Amino acid sequence: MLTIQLPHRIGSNQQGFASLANIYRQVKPCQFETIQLDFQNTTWFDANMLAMLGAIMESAWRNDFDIINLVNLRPEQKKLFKKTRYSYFGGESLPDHYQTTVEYRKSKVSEIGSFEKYLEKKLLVNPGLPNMSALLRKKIKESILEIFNNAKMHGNCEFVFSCGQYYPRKGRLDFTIVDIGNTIRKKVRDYSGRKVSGRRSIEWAVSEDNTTRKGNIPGGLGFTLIRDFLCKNKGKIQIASADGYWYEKEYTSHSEDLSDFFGGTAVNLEFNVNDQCSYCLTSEISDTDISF
Amino acid sequence: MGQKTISIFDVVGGKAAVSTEDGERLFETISAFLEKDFDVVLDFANIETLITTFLNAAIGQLYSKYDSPFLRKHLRVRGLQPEDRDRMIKTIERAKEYFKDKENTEKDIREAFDDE
Repeated sequence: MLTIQLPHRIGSNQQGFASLANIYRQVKPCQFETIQLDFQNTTWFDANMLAMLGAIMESAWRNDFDIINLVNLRPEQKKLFKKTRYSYFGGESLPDHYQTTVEYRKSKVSEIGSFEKYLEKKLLVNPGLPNMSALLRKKIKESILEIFNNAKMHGNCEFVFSCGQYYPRKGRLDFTIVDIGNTIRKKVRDYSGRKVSGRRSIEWAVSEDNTTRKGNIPGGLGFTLIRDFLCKNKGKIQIASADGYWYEKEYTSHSEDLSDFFGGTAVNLEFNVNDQCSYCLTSEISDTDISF
Repeated sequence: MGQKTISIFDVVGGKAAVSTEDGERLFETISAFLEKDFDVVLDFANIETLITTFLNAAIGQLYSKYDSPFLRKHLRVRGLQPEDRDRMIKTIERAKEYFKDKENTEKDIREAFDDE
């Protein structure tokens, strides 16, 4: 039996992604193994990061027939996990009185329509959220859907895992989307024929007009629009894939190596839900101005 | 030459135009009408969610078959929400760039990582 100690804190940051990538690296070689994830020292776990833990556990169950148990979970963590209906507890749920979590979900990549309804019902109508403008809600939903489709187009995966947490005092909504499939590094390496690092692969993939697509459907626009929106919204985007980590906040981006390898892609979008700006309606374009 | 109006709401079966598959279907429908010498109007009325994945497949892909002057003459849009017009324009601009530089793209990416 393999026992893995989790760290003191799993937050929505480089350290949090690295800690979960460390679990991925230890679990990956196991087959038909019983694995204990020991939460004894863990006092904080951002609910949205359950998307990444769920993806790792699912991969171990499905592909390598491992049994994974969560042990020594503190009561408040168990409660938090159940509020999100985390699948480990068989869908058992607890009421979320303060409406601060967005339900954990494992979605088939082929079912974007149903994922869109999940966002509408479980995220955007969450009574715990402040009264956001229709435009802000639309932008949040479209950003998440772009990431979902990226996983489908590039990840070569069957499922996408997602979960969210709302921080009322900070006015922040963190939503994490994870797939276990092709890493961004693999796609960029295959496409370029160069032995590119994880961090440089992500930097390239999120840059305007860059895409690894080769067919008749253009790409390379989705990340540009998300970055533009999140900068104006004073939000944040973080990506961890292979051995790379990248983030952008308020027009400043930064990348570094991830201390462990993660065999998929995790994207965390942090939205400023108190945004009152009409940042989007700056142009006076009409339908007839759209020239092909 | 006649005119055909395509309701995007009907094509996608709802208010969200988000999937590549729906975009592909719209692309095929537009192409079929254009091949038969119809002018085409794309009606986005009641579409509340619109993302680039759909637009790339439906609109961007048209530039693999037709050039800009032809599409300008035979294709129009209406009913777009004001905030989606910018997205549509960016999709069109990106598609033009993509097909213009398609041959050079692989060379460009290798050059971008020359020091790796």
